[in-house]
Amino acid sequence: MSRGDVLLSVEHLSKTYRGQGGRPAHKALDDVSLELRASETLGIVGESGSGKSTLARVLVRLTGADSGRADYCGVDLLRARGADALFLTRQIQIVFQDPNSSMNPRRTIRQALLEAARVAEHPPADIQGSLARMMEAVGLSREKLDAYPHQLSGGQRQRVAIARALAVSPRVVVADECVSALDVSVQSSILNLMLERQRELGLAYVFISHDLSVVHHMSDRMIVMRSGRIVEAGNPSEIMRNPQDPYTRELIASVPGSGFRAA
Amino acid sequence: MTATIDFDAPASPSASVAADGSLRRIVRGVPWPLLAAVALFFVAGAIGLVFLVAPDLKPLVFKQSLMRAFSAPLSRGGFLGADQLGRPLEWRLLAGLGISLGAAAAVTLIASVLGLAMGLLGGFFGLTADRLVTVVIDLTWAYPTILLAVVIAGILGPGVWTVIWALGLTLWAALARIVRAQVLVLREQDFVLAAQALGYSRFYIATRHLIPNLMPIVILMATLFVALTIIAEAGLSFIGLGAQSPTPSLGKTLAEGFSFASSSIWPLVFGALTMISLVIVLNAFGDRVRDILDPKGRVPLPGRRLRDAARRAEAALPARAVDRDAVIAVDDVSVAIHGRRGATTAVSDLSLTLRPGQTLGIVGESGSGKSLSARAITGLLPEGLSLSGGRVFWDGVDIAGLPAEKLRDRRGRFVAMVFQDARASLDPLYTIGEQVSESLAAHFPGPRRSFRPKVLEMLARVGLSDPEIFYDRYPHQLSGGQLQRAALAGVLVLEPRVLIADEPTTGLDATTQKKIVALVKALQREMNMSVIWISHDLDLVGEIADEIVVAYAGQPVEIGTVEEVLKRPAHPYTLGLLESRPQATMAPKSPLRSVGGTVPDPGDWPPACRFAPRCRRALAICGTTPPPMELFDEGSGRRLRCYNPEPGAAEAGA
Repeated sequence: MSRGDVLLSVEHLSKTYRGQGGRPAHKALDDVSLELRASETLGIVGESGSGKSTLARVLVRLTGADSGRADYCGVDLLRARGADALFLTRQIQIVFQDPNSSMNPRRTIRQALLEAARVAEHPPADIQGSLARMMEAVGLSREKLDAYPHQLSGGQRQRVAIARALAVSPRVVVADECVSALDVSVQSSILNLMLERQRELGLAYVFISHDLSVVHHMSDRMIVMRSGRIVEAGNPSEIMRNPQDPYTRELIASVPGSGFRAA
Repeated sequence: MTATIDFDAPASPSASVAADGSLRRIVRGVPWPLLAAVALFFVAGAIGLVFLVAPDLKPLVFKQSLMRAFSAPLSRGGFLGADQLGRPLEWRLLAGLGISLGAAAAVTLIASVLGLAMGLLGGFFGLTADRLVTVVIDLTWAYPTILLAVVIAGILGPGVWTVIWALGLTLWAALARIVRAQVLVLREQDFVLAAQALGYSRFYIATRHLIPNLMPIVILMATLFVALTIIAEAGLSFIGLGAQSPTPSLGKTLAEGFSFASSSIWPLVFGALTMISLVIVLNAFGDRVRDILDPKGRVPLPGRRLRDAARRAEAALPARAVDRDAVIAVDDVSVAIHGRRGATTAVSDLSLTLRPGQTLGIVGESGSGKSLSARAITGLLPEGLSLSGGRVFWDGVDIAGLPAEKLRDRRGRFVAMVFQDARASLDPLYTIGEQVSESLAAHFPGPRRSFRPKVLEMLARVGLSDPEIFYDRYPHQLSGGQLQRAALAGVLVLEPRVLIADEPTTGLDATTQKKIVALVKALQREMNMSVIWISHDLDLVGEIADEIVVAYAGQPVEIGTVEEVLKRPAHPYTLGLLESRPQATMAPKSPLRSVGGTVPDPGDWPPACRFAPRCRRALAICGTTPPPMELFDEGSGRRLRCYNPEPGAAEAGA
């Protein structure tokens, strides 16, 4: 399969969270359709309540959907069981937002990576050696393997989270706000790391963030979501230059520093 | 005690304890006399159990008339005297300790295993299981232990085992509830989701990821269960459901001592003393364990060494006369963290002036000391921190000279603060209106109701349209943006001269952030207020500030107008921060510039320039001599702490 082939296709996906304790039902996804092609980055930008995280969870099967279709290379993502489920696990992995909770505080980095590496289709023969290589690939020294998460900085933990996702050799990585909790200087090094890994491994990313400038920078194609719906989709630079939806225009106007940057 | 300090950087391995086993932490953290007392009781209990079963020793406990009935203490043949049947009291109490502690251990085991299992079942194994478990827990709570004891006594007959089962089968519910609540939090943690995304089974995740993280709670509850069982056993034995004669549980000894108190007071006194001291020791132990295992108490005080070689670097500068017209003037302030091994400097060389109506932005990464700087300005440093040097002037008055009472009264009306987490700064039990009134009531006399018009006006001014409705709303009914508006109303109603905004829009949506920034700007103009805006986002600060302070590792490194700092950054760190942000003008997917490395912890600051190890323009001198804060640009008054400024900044002079 080469660059440009459709890996993941989602059609008319909807999901409603039932309201509890008198709260009204909440439509997290409302008729969402999208495609992800091999080796590309699909950026999804949206604010709280836009449904972007629900979408991320559906893609890695942490939650189901009410209606619609989602399939990956012909495998039904919403109904996969057994061998199909294992196949999807090995193909699609996720990196989460919070570097503080992305690692079990009571287990070492080695244990965390081992847990992921065991899921891979062809676990490397020399698994300990491969853990060291995984660490080096995300810019960490192998000595850190025996550290506990609290001994690492937020940026380092996020690097480990990326290494864990890559340990099963996936073709798709869903990044759900993976740099939102980091300082700008750390954020840029993580983004660089993701771009490097993508070039080298031919990964496809679903890159989700509330930060328009970050999504714009990372994406080949971009989707703007609001209240569970896709309000705009297309080429990132095109959207920034010529936004069609009023909400997209509001988002662009809300990026701080536009005044100084333009000058 | 350091929960409020924002040090994101990792703690050094030696200082951190989070990953150690809970038991090891307890042994290390509990003072040794307490640990010894607990050990002593348990060893005595174990010996007591041996006395109950060993054929040679049993007579000491059970044989009647070894001594004269009701022998006094220290009488012939007995140390504590004898009970109503002439059995030596010391052996009876020793055996009683064994029975009571043995029963406590059994109850704790039953309740812990059952509570952990049920809590996990409810929290992690689906909705149906959860409903079932919740019903069982509620039923157990509703069911009095005594009633259960009567039922079990009907089956097993009264005795120690009845006590064990009655307590074990009720106390578990307390643990199950807490475990379930904790699991509901844990299961949303990213590491649990990540394990699920890797396809691991629920059982695997529960045993490998959840249970290790639940152990502190289980141990915590276990210490409570032991003490509770001791007391409950006494109660049940007293009413005849517990240990039966001649079994000498502590409760039974106490009950018999009570019955025969008119003949000899000693069995009652010694029984009570044993029990009271045991329960006190167990409770004190439990308290310490709670302190040690409570995740909030776990953060070690950062830093160890006081290293302030660079501290006096600014002394080289001629002492600046403090600007008496400034609303706030800060002169060479430093803040120290007091830890177990002495003090560590967390902020140093902080000098700045804030003029009426001006907005000052303080920018830096986490760990740069920007929040602590703001706290120092308000004279409100968290526990464990103190002003270790320099002076802070409000309207020309040194606040160190103000009595605490006066400072507190002035603070609310002079300087107000809003924080990142507006929800945390509002009390969930009071309405928005009540909380804004509260601010007024703290400073002005009169009944709360009389403040209502003023409060309504303030709510309208912060953009909560329909103030009558928002007056009666509770914090949980408001969105993030509305909460921040309510928090602003709560402090601005006192019409302070200065507003300190500590990352008030971090975590809010970009569109909401823009509205809050616009609101603060408008209110600032209306109220002629000065603002200090703290943020990690240089671009955002550029939107609101007149002047920017770039902070790094507890020190200002560049201070200048927004125009100068953002367009022609002089400090390599400032430029690094600016270049780290992706720009719409850049080619998508091109590599971003980035400042490698992380901010060092207080105590680990490099001796000369603190930024030198991460700096791409560092010279030899940067590693040997601390750079002073010097005037960089005469015209704009920009000040800089750098030997080798960015070349682009020099154009400023032209």
